[in-house]
Amino acid sequence: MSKKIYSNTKNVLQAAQERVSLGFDLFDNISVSVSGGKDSTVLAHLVVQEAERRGRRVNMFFTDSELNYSATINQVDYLMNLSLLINKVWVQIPSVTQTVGKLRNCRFLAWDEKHRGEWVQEKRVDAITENIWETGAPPYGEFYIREAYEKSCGSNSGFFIGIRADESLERLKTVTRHPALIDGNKIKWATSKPSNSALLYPIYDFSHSDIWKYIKENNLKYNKIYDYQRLHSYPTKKMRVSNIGHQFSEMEMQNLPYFEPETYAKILERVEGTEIMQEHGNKSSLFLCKKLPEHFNSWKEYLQHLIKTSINPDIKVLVERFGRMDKTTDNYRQACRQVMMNDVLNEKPIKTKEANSKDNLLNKLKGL
Amino acid sequence: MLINKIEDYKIEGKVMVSEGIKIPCTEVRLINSALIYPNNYNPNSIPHTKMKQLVDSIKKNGFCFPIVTYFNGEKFIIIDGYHRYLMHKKEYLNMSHIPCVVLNIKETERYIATVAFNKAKGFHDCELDAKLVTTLKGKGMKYDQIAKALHIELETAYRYCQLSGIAAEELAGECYSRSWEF
Repeated sequence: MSKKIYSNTKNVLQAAQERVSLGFDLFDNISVSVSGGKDSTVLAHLVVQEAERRGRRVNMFFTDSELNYSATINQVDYLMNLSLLINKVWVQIPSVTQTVGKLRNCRFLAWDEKHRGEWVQEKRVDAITENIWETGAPPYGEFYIREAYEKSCGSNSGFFIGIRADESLERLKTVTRHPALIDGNKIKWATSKPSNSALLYPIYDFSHSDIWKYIKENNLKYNKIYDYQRLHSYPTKKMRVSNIGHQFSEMEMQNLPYFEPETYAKILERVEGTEIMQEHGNKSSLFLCKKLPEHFNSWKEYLQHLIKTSINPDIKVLVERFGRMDKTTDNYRQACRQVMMNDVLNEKPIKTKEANSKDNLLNKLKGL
Repeated sequence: MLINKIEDYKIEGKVMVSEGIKIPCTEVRLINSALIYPNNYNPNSIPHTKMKQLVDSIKKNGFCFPIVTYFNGEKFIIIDGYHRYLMHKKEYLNMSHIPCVVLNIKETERYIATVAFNKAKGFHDCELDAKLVTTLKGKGMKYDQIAKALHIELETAYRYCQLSGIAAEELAGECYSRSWEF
């Protein structure tokens, strides 16, 4: 697991095609997750090519959390229509995400019926808009929706996902800790799931330039946001498309009025606290907590002040978590950042005395 | 209209009113720059390159926007237009008098007015900027001329003209890299 062993015979494309093909061999049900980003664009195309070759149907899965670029919606729409063999699973279920700006209630409920007419994107006629998977009381986080979808696919399902290691080798290592074992075949680039199913990462070894080469070579459409980011001189590694309301997307929010003024205008109306994120989201002493504000002597002092003056009802969750953390300067700083980012779900982990990973998962399951 | 000392200033002005809205810019006074003072609360800052653009624009188009001040009995304090006020300096336009409008408003209202003047403006849509640059290019201007005229970097002008298809064009690798296992 520790180092990369390079192949002398195969390039990443050949290897990925073989992996996708193996997935089709081993699993009865095939699904590919898309986000509208460049990686899932490449993956979706590879999977659809294989489906066409074999004449097999595939599910294409997208959780639409309302706070998306129009460019992302256009891209997903394009991907879903790449082939008639695609079963569109475009999910627009009311779901909860944490947002940074909102202080009094940091939970944003996407597709909230009470706010019909103010939705940032539109509900689609072909989307799944009601919970059909019955996994308990709504509202659900994205995590729930994914899990519920996977269960609904039945046994022996292969879920293709566009994770790449140069995005994060750590992440690849974490997700492949329990590799899949299907009919005696061990698949290292996968996560084992119950009922003879697995999450599959066939493009894990693609680099940025491989991704872009594939897009160019196959003349695929890609999310327009990348062109804007390129214009704004984003470093290649920072060129990514994610949910705009997500708590770590300060950069996205900052540039949104320049990229998609209409989407920004809608989000401004829809989500409280958007304005300050847009204007000061990248300031080192504010949300990023890179610089200690002048009138405090330490991160600890600043953290105490933030907790004391917080109007977020979820602050209790954070205080309880901070009680268990190692008392290091960097952890105090991270804790400040968690308060600033309303990070109730602990998606930006800090070191705690107990093992964090299980805790993390439990927190998520307890949910929103 | 020309104010060299505070005695020259009479509060009784005749600001035009149209449809119930006061139009202070119809009563512009040329005030000696020695009588004008910056405020101590404005958080707005402006990079050097933009100052050059301002000098250029005033030279070409004239001083189109008076600065906004209030009179505190002793001096004229800037509500909005600090950077236009700086034009009196030798390194910029070396002007002895600066065109001003004088508002008669309370202290809190001044703060609010300053913020409104600074912030109530739009964002430059990335794509529209690009279209504008591309239009200038289409009308025969060269990249360096566009960059100079708009006070943008040459790189910015290039990029604007390349808007379509750039990500895939510029970032694609020559050939696929070798596959690896772990």
